[in-house]
Amino acid sequence: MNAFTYPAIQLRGLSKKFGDVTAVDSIDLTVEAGSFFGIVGPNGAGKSTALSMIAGLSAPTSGTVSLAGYDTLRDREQALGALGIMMEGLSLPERLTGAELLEYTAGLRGMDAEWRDRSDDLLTVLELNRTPNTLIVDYSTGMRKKIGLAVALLHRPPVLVLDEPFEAIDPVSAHSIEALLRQYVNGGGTVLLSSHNMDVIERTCTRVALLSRGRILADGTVPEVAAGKTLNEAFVDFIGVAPQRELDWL
Amino acid sequence: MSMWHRFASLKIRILRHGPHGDRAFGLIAGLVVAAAVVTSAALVSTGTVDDSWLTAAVSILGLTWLLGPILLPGAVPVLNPQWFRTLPTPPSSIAAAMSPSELLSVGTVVTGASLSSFVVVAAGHDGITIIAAFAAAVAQLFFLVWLGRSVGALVAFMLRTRLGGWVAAFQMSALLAVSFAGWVPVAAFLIPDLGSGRMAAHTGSVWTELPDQLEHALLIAPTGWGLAAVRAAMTSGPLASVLLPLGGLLVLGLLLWTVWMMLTAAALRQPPAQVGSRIVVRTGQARFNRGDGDSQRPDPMTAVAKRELKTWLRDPQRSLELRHAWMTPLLMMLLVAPTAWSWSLPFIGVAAAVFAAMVAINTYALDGTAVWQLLTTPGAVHADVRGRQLAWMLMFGFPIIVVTTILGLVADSSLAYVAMGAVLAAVGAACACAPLLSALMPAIGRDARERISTGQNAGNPAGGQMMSFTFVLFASALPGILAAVLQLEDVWAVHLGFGLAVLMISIAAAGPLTVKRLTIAGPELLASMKSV
Repeated sequence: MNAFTYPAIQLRGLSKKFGDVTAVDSIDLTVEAGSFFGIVGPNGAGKSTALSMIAGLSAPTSGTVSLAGYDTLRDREQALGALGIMMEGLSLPERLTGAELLEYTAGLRGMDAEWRDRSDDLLTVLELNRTPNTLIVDYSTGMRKKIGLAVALLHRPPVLVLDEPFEAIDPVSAHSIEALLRQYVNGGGTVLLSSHNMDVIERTCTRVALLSRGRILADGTVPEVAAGKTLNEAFVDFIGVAPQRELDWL
Repeated sequence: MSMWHRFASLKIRILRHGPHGDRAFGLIAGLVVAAAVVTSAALVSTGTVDDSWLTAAVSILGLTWLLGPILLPGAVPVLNPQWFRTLPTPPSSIAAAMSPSELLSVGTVVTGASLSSFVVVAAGHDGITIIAAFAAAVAQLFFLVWLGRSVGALVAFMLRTRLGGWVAAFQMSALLAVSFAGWVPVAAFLIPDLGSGRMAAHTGSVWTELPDQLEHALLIAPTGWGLAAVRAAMTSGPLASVLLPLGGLLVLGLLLWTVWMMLTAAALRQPPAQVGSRIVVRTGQARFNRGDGDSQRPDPMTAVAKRELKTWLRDPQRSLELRHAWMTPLLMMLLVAPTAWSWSLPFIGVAAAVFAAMVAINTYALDGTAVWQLLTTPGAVHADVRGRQLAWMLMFGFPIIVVTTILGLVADSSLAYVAMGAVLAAVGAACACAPLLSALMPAIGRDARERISTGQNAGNPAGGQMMSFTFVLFASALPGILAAVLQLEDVWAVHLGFGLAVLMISIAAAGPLTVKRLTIAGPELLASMKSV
């Protein structure tokens, strides 16, 4: 199995340029199988661009991405088969209910009959079974995150890539998602997520990479990167804060 | 700077710096039409052509202000009232301040240029007549602009309700049916025995002028009041016959302006938060849709087809277009059936295929950024293309073929086999070009997750629609052309065989092309849709 003999995710010299702007600048990163890996960084750091390239939704300007040992350009189908994805700000088939979406996803992936039990489990654990008649387009932000996670998990991929899974959701929804991800990692899965929420990263991730202006500033276990401070304090130290001054008119 | 002045300058800046390819095309095409109207006025003034033709031209121009907003429902105004909802000013005041900016448009320029024909036609008369013609042009323009604006606002208002959606779909369908089949009763009257192969025409002289009754009717309608005033002035009629139509135009224009302001103020009062789609899937239906009890392994293409069928019924834009695509040919049948040309009923299947193609050529853009799932699931793009084709055949293709067969039998048409060959080819071409053009020429509007009503921007796929229209019509003619070339035009099997061949080849060839396009350009398409 590639998932056990190779790193779950390996980036080598990964770069992405938009005209003269370098969004991701020659990143090298290895995410070992079975780890819970967080990428943190300020807005515009290149997190979503990097995750888009890992998910195959954007072609790198240079460098390579391998997933469970499969190169995403050379062995695209196998690499995608090993992946579950949840991207921020994208639509789903909006005119389906949650249950219909999971049935559709199972059909699209040609899954065996086991999808039905998995779907019921996911809808129950994420409390989406309470609104069986509601279309995705009418879901709240938290419900969208949950159904997005269910879609990513349904085929039980070895690697999950999640863009801002805890952004703009209530603490209860965040708790459900966090619990499910822990269970997945404990079962041998690998999670790579991006987040602004340092508390969640500190609480859940085993390793963390700090990204700024397209480059990795620090990479290691959470205690290594935090270096005796909270992760939030370490983050502010790395990135720096905007100049502060008193505003008289306030 | 006053509020109306700010709105006007904002609109001018948007017109100057915003995307204006369509607007430039509209301006050029419109000015060509305006030049034709002015030329006809010049010919009328020299007595070369009858003045009733100018009446017809001006009436058609006026009709476009009425029909435009109905045929293009959901078109977003350049200055969207929703942007100004939070201004600390009463909605009625904001609406009033927006009014002058509504006069700044390509339509106003084109119509103004066309209505200068009033002055051209009055040019040989005294100064008072020329002044009256100028006043008539201004009053007519004032009326037409507010006619178009108020109808547009009314259609947008109606589209927010379910009943309004049905009414709007019926209006659009009725207008299209009349546009495409309205000539059939006239032609059936003129050449009643064409279906039997006899070309004997109902005799009558060639029109050098409009029939008096028709011209009179056109001048009685408000779209003809300006010209009626000019004519009265030119013939030195009583002052009232000049002032009454002009006053009527101003009064009607003011009334329509008031309607527009009321509807715009109502739009400004809409809550800022998104409301729901108002669609609730019934529990029993949801269970049925899930296929509980069905232990078979779902296959990707069927999964996509099921998703498509549900989306056609639940997406506000798609369901409007679905109703539109079915209502139009049904209304065409009502127009054609009572005439001597009932033999042509089976040919309505070709029109049905054309409409069904036109409403389905923007589905990738309508589904929006959901395309990410196809791009990141192995084999999903292929399944998606074939699934969309299957869903199209189930929604439109097979029913069109069945109804055409029934119409051929019921109408006892001697040309039923020709119609069936044409319909088979048209259905194949339509099924092929719907996903293909959707991938090649996506007209991107608001993303699917933000689109909850037909009043929102769903993209303007006019280019793709025109291309599909041309392509499907051309394909429908192929069996007949090939049969004629082989001199086998009377052999029904040849028409059906060629029709079937065009159907299968079109669908088979379009699939891989669409898959290739999506695979190569999918990430770019996703990025474009994400950035809107």
